[in-house]
Amino acid sequence: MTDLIERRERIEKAYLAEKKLSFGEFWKNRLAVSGILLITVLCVLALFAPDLAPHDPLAQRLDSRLLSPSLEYPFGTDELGRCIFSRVIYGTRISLGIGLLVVAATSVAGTSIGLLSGYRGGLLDEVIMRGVDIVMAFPNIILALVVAGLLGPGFSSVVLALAFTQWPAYARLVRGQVLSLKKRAFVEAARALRPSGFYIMRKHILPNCMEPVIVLGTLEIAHVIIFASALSFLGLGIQPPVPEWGSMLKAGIPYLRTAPHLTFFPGLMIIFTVFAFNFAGDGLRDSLGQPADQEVLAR
Amino acid sequence: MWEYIAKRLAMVSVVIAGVTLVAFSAMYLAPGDPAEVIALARYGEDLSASQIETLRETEGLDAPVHMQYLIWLGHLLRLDFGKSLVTSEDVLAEIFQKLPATVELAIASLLISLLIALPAGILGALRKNTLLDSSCMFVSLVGVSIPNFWLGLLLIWLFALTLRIFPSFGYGSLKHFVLPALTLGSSMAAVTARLTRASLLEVLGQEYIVAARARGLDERTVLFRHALKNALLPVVTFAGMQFGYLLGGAVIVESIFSWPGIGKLLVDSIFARDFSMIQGCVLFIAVLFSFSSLVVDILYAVLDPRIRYDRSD
Amino acid sequence: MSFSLLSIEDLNVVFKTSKGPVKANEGISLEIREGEILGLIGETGCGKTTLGKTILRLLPGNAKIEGKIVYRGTDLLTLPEKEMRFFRGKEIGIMFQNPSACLNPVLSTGRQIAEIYRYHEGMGKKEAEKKAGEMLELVGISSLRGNDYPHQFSGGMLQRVMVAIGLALRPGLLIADEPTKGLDTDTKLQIAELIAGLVRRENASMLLITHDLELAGRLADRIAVMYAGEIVETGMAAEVISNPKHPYTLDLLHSLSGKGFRTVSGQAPGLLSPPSGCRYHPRCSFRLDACSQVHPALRGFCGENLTRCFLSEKDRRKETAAQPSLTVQSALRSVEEEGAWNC
Repeated sequence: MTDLIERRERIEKAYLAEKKLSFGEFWKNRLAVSGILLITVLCVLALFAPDLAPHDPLAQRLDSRLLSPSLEYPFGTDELGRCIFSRVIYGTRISLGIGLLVVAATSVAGTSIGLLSGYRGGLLDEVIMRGVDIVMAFPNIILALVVAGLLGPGFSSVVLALAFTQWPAYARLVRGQVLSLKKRAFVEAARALRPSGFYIMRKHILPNCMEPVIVLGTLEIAHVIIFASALSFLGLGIQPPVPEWGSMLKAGIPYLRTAPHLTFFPGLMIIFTVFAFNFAGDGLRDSLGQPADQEVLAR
Repeated sequence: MWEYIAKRLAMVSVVIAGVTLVAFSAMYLAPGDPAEVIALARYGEDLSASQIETLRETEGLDAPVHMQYLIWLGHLLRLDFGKSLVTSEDVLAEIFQKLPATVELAIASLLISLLIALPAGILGALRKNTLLDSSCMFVSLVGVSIPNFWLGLLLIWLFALTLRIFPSFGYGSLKHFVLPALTLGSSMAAVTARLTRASLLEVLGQEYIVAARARGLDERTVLFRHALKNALLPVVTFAGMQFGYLLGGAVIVESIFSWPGIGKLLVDSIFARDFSMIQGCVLFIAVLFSFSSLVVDILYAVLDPRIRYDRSD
Repeated sequence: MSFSLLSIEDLNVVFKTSKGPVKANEGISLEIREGEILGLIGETGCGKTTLGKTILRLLPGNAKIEGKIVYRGTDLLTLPEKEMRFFRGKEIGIMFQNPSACLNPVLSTGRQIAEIYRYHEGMGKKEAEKKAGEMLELVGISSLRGNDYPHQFSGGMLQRVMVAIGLALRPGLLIADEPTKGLDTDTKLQIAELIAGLVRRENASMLLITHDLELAGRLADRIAVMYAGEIVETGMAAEVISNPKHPYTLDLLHSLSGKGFRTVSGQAPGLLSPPSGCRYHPRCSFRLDACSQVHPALRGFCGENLTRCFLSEKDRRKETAAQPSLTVQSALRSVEEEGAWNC
């Protein structure tokens, strides 16, 4: 199973090679910059939702149900007369919140575990890697589904479920980095000077691992947002009336023929958000490049 | 070669053992007393304390946890996955009944994905940086960003509700395959196309391609006999991994299209709080996934002689 | 006087890169005669591999090529691609620098040799594989190893496979690019003698591209020395080794262990912006003012030897003792005249 993931990494490298060959210098920057621009837009939407949304996202107006998009309701209204535009804007808070929370938690946890596992090696490494294998033995939706399902609906169960499934990626990534860094000369030199493992891990190895982790983290935000929407879409995550895009999609299904705008706009928003983070992640991957070549020898 | 397979099998066994532990503990993750939950499912709302206690004894829930695990494991090894709390049917039998639908959908989706991705990726690499290439890559970047549940709904709206060409749910004829397989296949195709292109570009930059041309071979031979043979290796591995994932992971698409597969079974049993079924499904899916990964590993060894043989000097 | 097999006339190869044009080969004029081994000497990055690849038009898309390369009366540079393929492998064979990178890792070595026969001579599968086996035996590898894959061979054996591939169709010219790179001394000798022996046996010619002056001296009939994309000296091998006319060749010889191990100072110039005037002048111990301003042409000595330097041997001996007397004017005049010098 580990082989497959190594192959995955080789695949990723090939992907990187492709990126370097196909986009010129200009494009490389364009990608990252436009991605970050889009993300900024999203953050603005999330932070200033109360000011930007024309209506209260929870306000039901049963006399204005299922209205098509108009000037007053730019995205129309849903089955309870709520303004979809406002709900979509407020939904940014939820999705970005989940994305950032989960990625923050998993990246820190996963990186630490990977660092420990790679640096210490031996039995600890074997045990941790088997743990990683076991978590990865489930298609991640399945695991998240079951955890979210068993814990019950709600924000916290979504976060927990996703955190549980997503941490191995970081652990594997960082462990790989650590293993190749361990062999490099400057680490040997550092060990000779001051053998405390913790210090070396912190000062020498960690800084060199950060770049791929940042790239992965950015792409993971996109992944987590889709994932969270999927869980809510199935009814296992965020529940209505909270304006989460996935659950809004689900609510729109019965009206798919008569009022498709209920499903159309939240979906577009998901695509836009994911696209933004994918763009940024790809661009970051290009400009940060292969990190193994840079030696950040901390003083 | 056999050494390689044996090593892999050993690892898979360890992993599966761990999986059983995880599946077992699912019962205890849920808030509440397992005995109560089972009682609720079986007898409905009107429960008495004595009913719960009797249940606890009969189901062996009063034994220490590790004993329960071992007993449960024993049942598993005899291929007894227990009975559904809802229908009282044999769990494993139900799973096997729903398995064919999932497998068929997985195969159909894989075929559609490869049909789209391979030509797109290969052409993209050969016509690098042309309009065709850039547009294909842009489309695939967008494709990667579209959640498959939204795509599914879009396709339903377009083909089933508006154009009325294909059915939006159900199982039975070839027509029923189209929309769900298209949904899954397109998402996979986006990633696979990018991978194919990247891999082929990397291979084309290798010295042995120049060396092949130096022997006077024509471009077609160089491409098919030398370049593609190498470039498609990671693509095959990836497709295999995707297939394994589809065998258990197509829950969303199966739910949208009411496709009677394992994914839908799992989702339904989660809502029904049918713990035995949940455990059984999760276990089955994980084992299936692990074994498909093993098969892909072996396949790779078969195709790539560098893995197959040790260095013999 | 044997006739000319390959004649390169005023070849220029420029690579278009994101950092600017790289002049890999400039004004190259060379001749390889029938049945002779020409050694092309130079350090890494001087453009000799590019020259080898240009002959068979194996350069990447960003290369601009000017000049003529005439093989047995046909200008290879003007041929359409379809006809060029006929020359590759069949008339002109090539051995690349890094044998482990030059073989397809997923095909067995035997099949890669056999494919040459199947493609060029239309042989059937069994027949081609038999011939491939014979070829392997010829280079000293058991034919049974034809079923093995490239990663199962050692460096030296892979070189032999490269020889087998290069000579499979008995070409008239073999281009051998660093055939002994990375091998230990004994294997170097073995491979070198193997290649030379096979080439001579067929009365074919070889362009031996190497940085190893000793090897060239041992195997080659004539030697050409390349520096910073240009030919700076040509001549009979024995003459070049014993009596070099260009300061670079002189310094190269002195860097060999047998003659004092004196290193050549400085670094080889990048081909993006070579030094003005004579390209070797920054490192030349005989440098004069004129050398940095005027670019010397190849001038002939008595006999066959040509060199790209203003100073004759006598001048050099004189210069180390007396004052510099070469003015820019006389340097320019000598470039224009291109007459023979006093021996």
